[in-house]
Amino acid sequence: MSLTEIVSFLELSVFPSVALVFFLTAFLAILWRVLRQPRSETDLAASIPLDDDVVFTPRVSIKEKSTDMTDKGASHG
Amino acid sequence: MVPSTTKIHRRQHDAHTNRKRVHTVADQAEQAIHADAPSHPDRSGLESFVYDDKIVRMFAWATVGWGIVAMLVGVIIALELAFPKANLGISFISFGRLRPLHTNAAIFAFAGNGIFAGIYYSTQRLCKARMWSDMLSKLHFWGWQLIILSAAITLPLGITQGKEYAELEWPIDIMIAVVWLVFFGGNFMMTLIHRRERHLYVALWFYIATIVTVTVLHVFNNLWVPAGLVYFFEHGQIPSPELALKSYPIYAGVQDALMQWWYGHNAVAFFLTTPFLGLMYYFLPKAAERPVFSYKLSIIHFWSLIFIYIWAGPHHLHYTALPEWASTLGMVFSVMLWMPSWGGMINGLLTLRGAWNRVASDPILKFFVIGVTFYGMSTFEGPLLSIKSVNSLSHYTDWTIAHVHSGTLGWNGFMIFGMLYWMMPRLFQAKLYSKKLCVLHFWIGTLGIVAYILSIYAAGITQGLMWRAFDANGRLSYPAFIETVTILIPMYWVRVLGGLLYLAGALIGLYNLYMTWRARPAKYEEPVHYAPALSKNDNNDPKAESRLHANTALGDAGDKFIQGIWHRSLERKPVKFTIWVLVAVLIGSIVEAVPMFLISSNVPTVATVEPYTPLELTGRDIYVSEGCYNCHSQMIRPFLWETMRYGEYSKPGEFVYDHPFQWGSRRIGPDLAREGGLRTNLWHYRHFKSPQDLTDGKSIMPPYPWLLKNTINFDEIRGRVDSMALLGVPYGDLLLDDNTVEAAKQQAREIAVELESQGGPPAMETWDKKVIALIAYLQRMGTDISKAPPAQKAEEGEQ
Repeated sequence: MSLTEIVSFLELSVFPSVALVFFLTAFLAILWRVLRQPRSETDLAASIPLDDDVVFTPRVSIKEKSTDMTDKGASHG
Repeated sequence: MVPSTTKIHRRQHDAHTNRKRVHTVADQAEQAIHADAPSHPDRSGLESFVYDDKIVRMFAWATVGWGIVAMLVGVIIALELAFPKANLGISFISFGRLRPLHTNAAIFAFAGNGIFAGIYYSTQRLCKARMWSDMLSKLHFWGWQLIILSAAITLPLGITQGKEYAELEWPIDIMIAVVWLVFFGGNFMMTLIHRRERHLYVALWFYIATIVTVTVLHVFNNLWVPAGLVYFFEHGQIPSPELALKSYPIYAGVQDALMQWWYGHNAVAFFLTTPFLGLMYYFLPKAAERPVFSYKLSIIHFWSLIFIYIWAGPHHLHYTALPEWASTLGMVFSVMLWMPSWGGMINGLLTLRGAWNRVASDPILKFFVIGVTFYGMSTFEGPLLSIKSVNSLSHYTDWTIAHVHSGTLGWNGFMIFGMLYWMMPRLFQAKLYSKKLCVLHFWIGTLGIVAYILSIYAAGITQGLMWRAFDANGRLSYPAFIETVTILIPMYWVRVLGGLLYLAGALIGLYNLYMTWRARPAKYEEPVHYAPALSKNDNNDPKAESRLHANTALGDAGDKFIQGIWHRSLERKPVKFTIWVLVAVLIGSIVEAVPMFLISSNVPTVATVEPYTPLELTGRDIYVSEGCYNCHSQMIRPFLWETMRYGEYSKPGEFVYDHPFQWGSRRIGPDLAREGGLRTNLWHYRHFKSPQDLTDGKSIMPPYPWLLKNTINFDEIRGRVDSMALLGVPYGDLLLDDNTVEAAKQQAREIAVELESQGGPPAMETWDKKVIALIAYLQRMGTDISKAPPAQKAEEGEQ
């Protein structure tokens, strides 16, 4: 008996139903985790992009240069 | 309840304070560094590193350059629809060949390079690490540009697989797999492994999902048999370049359609959505100078999105020969997508809380706000279009084109422009040349999008309603298809205008960025950064301990699970995280694909359907090569207005020898599923020569004079037929000796003689021309189903 024949005996609706159960289980687990996550932990994670230039060499002026580069809009012509 | 601004600010302040605590070591080191030049970073236990911004600059320039090419080609093909004479009778620029170039350039060249620029910039900073290998970064860049260049050469030459957004032929497919997975994916993953930031920020999750899923999609949708290699090994002859680059997908008909739209939809999901969401989660907080509105929401957004998106592909095939269960599954999951998509959009827009006043003055924020808003609009419209009743009106019309362009021009385009305007002055270490030009770009681009999508929405709905309109006597109100096309021409002109405006905006952007680049320093400074290395020993993750005194291990395990620390651990382990992402996307794929491929009842056979003759197969390859599927469908849906116009609705069993399927997704011209026998050979011949001559100048189809001149390579038809046989197409005795070539020549002569008898040119002049093969294919289309079944034939023979 081939794999095709074996699978042909299965009830098709089982496939999406089982997958939906997988999804809902995973979703609820993640939701549970997220709701219980301390605010301080998520705030810390959320601030990572804003804190990605932690230590600069003192001679470097790029940080100053990069501050609000678009605000003035002055032409360099 | 919405937290007050004060609370939010306090929370942000606390977060920053916490981070300061985390980086106490770093701060101390910084003081040491200030006191002493950074020549002894090891003293303080820190590692020094420099970000590779050169690779970001290279990708950023490639984004702008290829973006303008993509937009220019888009304007040209828009013009060809509004003004068909713009095709000029030149094969390289005919609509069917250029449209794939436009889509591929927009997706893989413009958006692709934009993604890479953003990912290389943000990943290094989020990981506090230089990319793992400069060599892999360079190989990635140059490999990707080579792929794009290959596409720009092969697609206008008509070298294509004939599957939307997967047109590139097999050697380029291999290049894509290597460049994407090995050079890009390998380098990215090794950077994550060697990072110096413990937590993987949510943007990195989206990048991981992008890399993993695009690999899976690309590989499984591009399994093929190269016809040139088959020809070489079977007959020992070197194939022509045309055959050498030709391949046939291993899937046929319904299965190929399911695989293609699983790929096609998820190319939108995992190439045009997830990486851009990652960029949104990084660049929007940077530009707004505040953290993302809700990190918790971003976690839910991520997992829901990647799990659900992968299921939605079949909504591209509603009312086709795809089994209904698969179609319904696609629709249900598409509707479910509303929630995570809007969760992401809301998270993006609310990141600007307290900074909305800056949107008025900061053009970068303007780009981001409109980009995210278009994301919300597109992801509202997508599920709407997936609902079967809506889809019955929208499918095959310009409505889909408008939807796609609101996403690419609005969401992808504006996010890229916003990102470039934010990033490139920093990369060039110079101020943006002109804020006014940036604002001008924003407004021209916005006007361009609005002009484009409004006109094309109107065109789509107009045409869809005209197709299904009946008069008082129950007849089609617009039986001539061409009536439903000519009415769209004014709207097509507005689209040209919209495209031109968007292109003009991009050119202004190019000028602005070029002038910014000119103000760069003679030598870029390369700031040295310091951060402590991560090691397994300093993993301060709390370990879950069971709080129960359970008698079973299961109870203890359950209690550890509900404490939720498992996810925090997952957020810090890139390899494990990647595996779970792969599991999430594979579940939906397997559920849809396995039953489709293994259950034979899904594709009931039709006894009278036979393989294409060698000449018809050659004609079909020309059909694919010319990109006819870009304007013509081969799928009659089971609606009265369709069966009255085109004939019997299409059955799954009719396509079992179609490698690749050619159902199409847009009807700029009429459906061709039952074209066989409807018109004479002479009509087709004259139609290819000049479509306008047969339609009082109304047709917008380009002429194909080269098909009347170029000859068929009869000998190489053996390579085509052998490849099909390798895929299981029963060609029987045709495979023996020179039967294939003789059969093809015989049929070609018969068609040419008939053509001459109908008043066409002498058979001796036409019999070996490509147009004859294409006519053979057209005359075969959809005719098998009306043939007498084998048993009936036998009975008739006996009588």
